[in-house]
Amino acid sequence: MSTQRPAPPARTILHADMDAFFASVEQLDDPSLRGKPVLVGGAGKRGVVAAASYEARVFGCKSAMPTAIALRRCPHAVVLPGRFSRYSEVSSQVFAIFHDVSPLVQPLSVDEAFIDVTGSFAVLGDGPTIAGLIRKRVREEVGLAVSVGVASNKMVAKVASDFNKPDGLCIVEPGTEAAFLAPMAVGVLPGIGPASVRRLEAIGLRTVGDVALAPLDQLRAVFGEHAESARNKALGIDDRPVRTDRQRKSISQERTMTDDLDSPEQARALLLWHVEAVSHRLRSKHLVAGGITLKIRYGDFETITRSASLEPPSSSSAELWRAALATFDQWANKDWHALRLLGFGVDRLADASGQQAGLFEQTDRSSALDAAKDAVMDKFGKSAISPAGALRSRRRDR
Amino acid sequence: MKVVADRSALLEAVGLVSGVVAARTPRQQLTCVKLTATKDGETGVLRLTGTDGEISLGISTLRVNVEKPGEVLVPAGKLKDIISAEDHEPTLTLEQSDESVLITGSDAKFKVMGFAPQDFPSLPELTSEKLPDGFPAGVKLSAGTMSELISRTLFATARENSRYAINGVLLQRADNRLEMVATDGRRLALARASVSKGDFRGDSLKCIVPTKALQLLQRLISADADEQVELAIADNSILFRVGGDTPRATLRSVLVEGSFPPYEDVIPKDHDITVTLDRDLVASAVRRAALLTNEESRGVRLAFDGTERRLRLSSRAPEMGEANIEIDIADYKGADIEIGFNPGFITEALRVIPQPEVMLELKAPGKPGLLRSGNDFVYVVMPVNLQ
Repeated sequence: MSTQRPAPPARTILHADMDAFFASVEQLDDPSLRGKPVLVGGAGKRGVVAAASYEARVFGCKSAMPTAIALRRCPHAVVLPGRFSRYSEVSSQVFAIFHDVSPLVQPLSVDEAFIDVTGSFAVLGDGPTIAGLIRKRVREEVGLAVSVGVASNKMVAKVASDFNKPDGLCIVEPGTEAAFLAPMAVGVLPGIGPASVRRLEAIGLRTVGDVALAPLDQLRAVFGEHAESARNKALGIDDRPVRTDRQRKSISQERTMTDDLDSPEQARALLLWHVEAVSHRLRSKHLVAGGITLKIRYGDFETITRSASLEPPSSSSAELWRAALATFDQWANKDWHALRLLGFGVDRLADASGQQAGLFEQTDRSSALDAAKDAVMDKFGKSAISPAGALRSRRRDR
Repeated sequence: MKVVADRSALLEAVGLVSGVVAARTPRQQLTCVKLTATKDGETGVLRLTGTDGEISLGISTLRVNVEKPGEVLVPAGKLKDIISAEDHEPTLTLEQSDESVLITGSDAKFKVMGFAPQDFPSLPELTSEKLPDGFPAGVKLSAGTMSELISRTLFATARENSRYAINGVLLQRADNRLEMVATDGRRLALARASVSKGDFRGDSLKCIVPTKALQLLQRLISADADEQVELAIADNSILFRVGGDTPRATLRSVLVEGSFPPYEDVIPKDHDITVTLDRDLVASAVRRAALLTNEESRGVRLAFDGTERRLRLSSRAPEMGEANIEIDIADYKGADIEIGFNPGFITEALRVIPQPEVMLELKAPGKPGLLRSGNDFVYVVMPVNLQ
């Protein structure tokens, strides 16, 4: 038998990220705004910045910051409401250029994408050449700057595109991923948020290189079962392919409270209600989900997400609830704050037929229960039946 | 250090050790192999050691002439490339020059920059002649038995991380048998081998060995089935010594922490249907049916017809096509059943069964199937939802 896992074939991945996209489009269309601090976003009391031009970033303005705070930092900034149909038009022009260099384009949002150019070498040249070509064409044909990272995988390409921003090009040669990341602050790695950074710093791990060299036991104290995956990230290892599928990617539901939810019990009741509704929609579309995400927004507008995998993928209310509750409790036991919004979503969706059953999740009773609930909901409407634990949240919100 | 080494022995050793060294690390020393040449009277030994911090491997070769004992630390990848490329040479000379090593053949000279040997982690357990202290439990068995246990379980380990997917194989003593269990959360393989009582040492022998360590061990021991393998465990690591009292290869690995999933609970205790199958016939049928499966529809449907003693296998991939294959079954007890399985999960298990006939036990389409071969191999596989 083969005893060594074959190395994944060498790939070249580009991460292309438009610089301050919405604000740059405004400056493109209105030359009088060029060189000035521009904020795109809501101007009202609860308005949030969607994009800040580099001139505004100098003053500490950032996207997702309440507009009021951004204006305190930069009082002379021009605030614009945002013209999203125009942004989407410009985005299509940019993506048309991406699609010219490779069919393997994975959009992450209107202004950034991964592009696997491995198959384009023979026609267009190597990764850095193609990155240069994209930057030149976006500048000349659209009039905007795009930063591009070139690397052997998605994660490193994304870190690289940010490295020389704005209007930058950063090439990470294969084999130098770990060395490239090593001196950086550990927070650059995806999935390592401020809380993990604090805990890592507490045990003396500040840079990505520190994490790469740390013994697994030490990492387990911070990352638990994700220690190995955290270390792989620190070593610049990421085998995820560039995915182009346009299939439905997620189903989610969220609710903003008129008054903040001030106890974890209330939040759990609302979460159960979300889980029931989302899992019913999953089953009615004959889909299963491979992951769940909670969206949590505090009273001060800070929004965080917490995700978990479902292995094997599932559409069972009980399995989804188990994962959602564990994820919620893990957050709430440490960082509970009153909530303004709570959302629940599922992703990595796949067709339910052809799904491999799991050895350790043989749940006959809960699937019979799901089928009965679905039948009631289909016949009498979605409000006809819900778990007792969720009733509290619905009464309150009516 | 200066040695003249047999090129093929050197290549084999470097190939094995470079399978251990860290591929990507900010610490360059960990991408290196340490060469240590010693001389005891007329007998020279060249020892190669490598580590990634979790798994460490030492290989000794006697097929050298040690002209000057010493140590060097050289990047494993380059060393392997050079030795491999010098394929017209029966021997190569390796000579230390400061922190570099000179590799000389009849018409070529390479100078490879290395590092100071003292920058390499100290690995005393890989070089000591006798079993070091601090390994209270262990067992001795033949390389052939060890190899069989590994090949019957390793394939069922998880290829990616997930809830039940521990990247390792449970190894434990059950009376006078050594047992290994592997699962990826969808199927489970359990293999046993008898070992004479006196070959066990200590009381509790139970641990989870990382997949990578077993892959390496499998490569180390595949040559000679009668060679002795000794394994010994400590709190957090396992040591394998291959080749008797003066081992030619020593492998040390950290153990996988955590508890193994409750595997005994998922091995079916009863069944309503027993099928006796010709191993090669069914393997071929499943392989052919698998030709018309894809990522989205990975299952092969097995429809058993007890009256006709026929098995109809079918598969269908959207926008690709479908396959139908019919074979005879040797014996069938129970009601007819249709059940779907991932074809790879069936063929991978059939490949490690030595007997020409296998027993398949089933209960219902949503329940696990069980493949059995003698008393020493049990394989549980969950079905694919067919709807």
